[in-house]
Amino acid sequence: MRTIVKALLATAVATLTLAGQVHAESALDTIIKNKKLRCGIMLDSPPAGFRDSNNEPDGYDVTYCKDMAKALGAEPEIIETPSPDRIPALVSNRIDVLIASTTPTPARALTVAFTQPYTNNVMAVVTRKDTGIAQYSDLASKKLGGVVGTTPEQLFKDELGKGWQGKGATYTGFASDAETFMALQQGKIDAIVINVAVFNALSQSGQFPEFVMAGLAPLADFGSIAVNRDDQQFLNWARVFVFTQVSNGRWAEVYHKYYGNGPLPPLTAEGINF
Amino acid sequence: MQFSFANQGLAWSDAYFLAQGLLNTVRLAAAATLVGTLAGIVLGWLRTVSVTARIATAPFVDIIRSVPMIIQLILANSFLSILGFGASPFWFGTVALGAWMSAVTAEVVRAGLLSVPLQYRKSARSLGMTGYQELLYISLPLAFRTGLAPWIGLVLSLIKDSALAGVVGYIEYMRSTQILITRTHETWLLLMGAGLFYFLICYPVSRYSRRLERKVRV
Amino acid sequence: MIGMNGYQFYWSIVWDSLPLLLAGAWVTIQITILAFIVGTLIAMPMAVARQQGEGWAYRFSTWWVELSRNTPAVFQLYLFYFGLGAFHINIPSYAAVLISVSFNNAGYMTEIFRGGLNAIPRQQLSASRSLGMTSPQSFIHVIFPQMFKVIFLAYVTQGIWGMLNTSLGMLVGLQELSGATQYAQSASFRTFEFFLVTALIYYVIAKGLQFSSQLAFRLIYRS
Repeated sequence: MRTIVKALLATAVATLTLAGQVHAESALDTIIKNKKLRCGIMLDSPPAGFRDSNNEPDGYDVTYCKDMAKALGAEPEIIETPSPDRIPALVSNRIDVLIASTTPTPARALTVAFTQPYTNNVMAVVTRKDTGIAQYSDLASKKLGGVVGTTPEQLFKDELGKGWQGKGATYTGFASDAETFMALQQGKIDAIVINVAVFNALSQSGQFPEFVMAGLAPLADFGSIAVNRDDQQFLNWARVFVFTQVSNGRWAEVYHKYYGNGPLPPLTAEGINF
Repeated sequence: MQFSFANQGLAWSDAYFLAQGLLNTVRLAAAATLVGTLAGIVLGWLRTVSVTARIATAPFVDIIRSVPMIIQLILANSFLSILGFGASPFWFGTVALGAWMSAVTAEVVRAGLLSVPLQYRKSARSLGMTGYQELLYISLPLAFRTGLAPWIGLVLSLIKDSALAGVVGYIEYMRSTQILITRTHETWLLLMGAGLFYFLICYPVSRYSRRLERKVRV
Repeated sequence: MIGMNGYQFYWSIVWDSLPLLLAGAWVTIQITILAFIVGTLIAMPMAVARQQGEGWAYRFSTWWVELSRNTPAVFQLYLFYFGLGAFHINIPSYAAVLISVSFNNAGYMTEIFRGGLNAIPRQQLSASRSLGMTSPQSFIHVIFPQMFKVIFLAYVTQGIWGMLNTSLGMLVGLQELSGATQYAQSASFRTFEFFLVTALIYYVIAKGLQFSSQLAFRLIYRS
């Protein structure tokens, strides 16, 4: 019996050690070779990523994935990556690229490599008609909400710390945009800060008749495409892709389709290149 | 064409979507039960016969029962990812739920084996059975008898915990329900459907297990 | 910093966010203890009702027990959070988690208590009634103290289960330990490091609850 016990323990250890295989190849080469581009996308933040009435992925990010696949001569494959799965999926090469309107920040750039911005969310205060909120400064005493880990959340937390808390403001974080909209509709919260274009799309839908916009928020939220931190080759390619989408007019087309016919937002911060 | 959000109510195609979620729940629960039970039997036996194995595996059993399943799922997902496994969320879910199942099954198996009276085992050996024969024909069947009802309870817990696999991107029944709620706002109808689905699986099985428990005790 | 498959571990980022995680852990402990107390208070009369085997109180508690034990905890949470919200009854995520974990605790504890009550001889109740105690008095002073001694282990285990269930708060935006971790990992993208540390904190909380309850048991029953 003792030998069997030992053999079992040894097998367990061996399996764990054999587990890791190393891949040094650029995703660029595997995409071309396999003719398949796997995009990690968050499907709970319309209109960037959502499911249509057939529950198929659709949206601004999904279209960007399809365009990217076309440029690479590959088939696009959309993989839904919830927030805790984004980085693991990228690190394990389960996805080749993360197209999830991700805000590039220095902290995040320690983990992934970002392209220059491919989208820019001009942010506005959105509230219900009955709250009496007319502008950003009115939020100082209200129940605020947002999606966990996003820049509007960061903004609210900063404001709470700088004195809004004393005036009675509270903040609740939600798992996705969709849940935030529901919370605002149901009265769990009084105001959110979202993309102006998202608000336009929402109000056109007639799904949330009680929502109104109450001025702009002091926030510019750029979104970048992310690839593996070590994959400089693919990053170079993706940067050219982002540039070409804008220069050949495709970006304007996709933007208008999903974010309405308003003016195009700038993709650079004033006074500096990315 | 300009995109606009339609107010999208439930459609018949959503029944198909839910059916897929249902099938995914069954697949995940079945795979994790199978993997976890087999591993758990081996682990439980090891923990009964070998002191070294008991000490070596104690932290595993202890930790798995003190950390929430949602954290275990996320950790299994990211740890296996860092190791370079590019498997699907189905396998990550199977590993996380299976690991939990193996740890708790091991304790049931151990309790079952320890409940076998020493005289039985000794007399089996004195009848000329080898150690393995005794394990196979005497100890395991008797342990099975005492362990069956608690094991069924574990399977039920596993089915209910599989509702968390959505957090790492696996679209099982609860997650597909949530996706449809987001799209259609039919909150009550869909939530009731989800509750009923789990209840219809778990209730009859738990009743059966309680009857079984009473029978064994007699 | 050990690299694995090209992944570099950055623990200092977790270290910097430790106050955030500990604040979350404090919320976790609060809800765990509150839900434990609420669950116990609801389960005591329900266990007595379940023993009766008939009447509306029996049917009510049977429904509660079966619902809480045969549906996922995450379903129960969504029911209180989104389900009530659809009727414009809005409860904050803290209350939703507290209510749903208490609901779950009460269901499981009822069955644990019932098992304990079955182990106590019937005559004890009639004996204490004949001493002039009312029925609630005899339960509180005679029956329940003995029952808790019998079921103590299962009772504490359920308390720890309740603690594990509070982690679902992450799904409704509550910044308990898991929610706080989710927030921190989202800002820095250090998913693995953050959740590993969080698992460790959960372990410490679970052990802390276990040891302190054992200590309480010894103090109360002096055994």
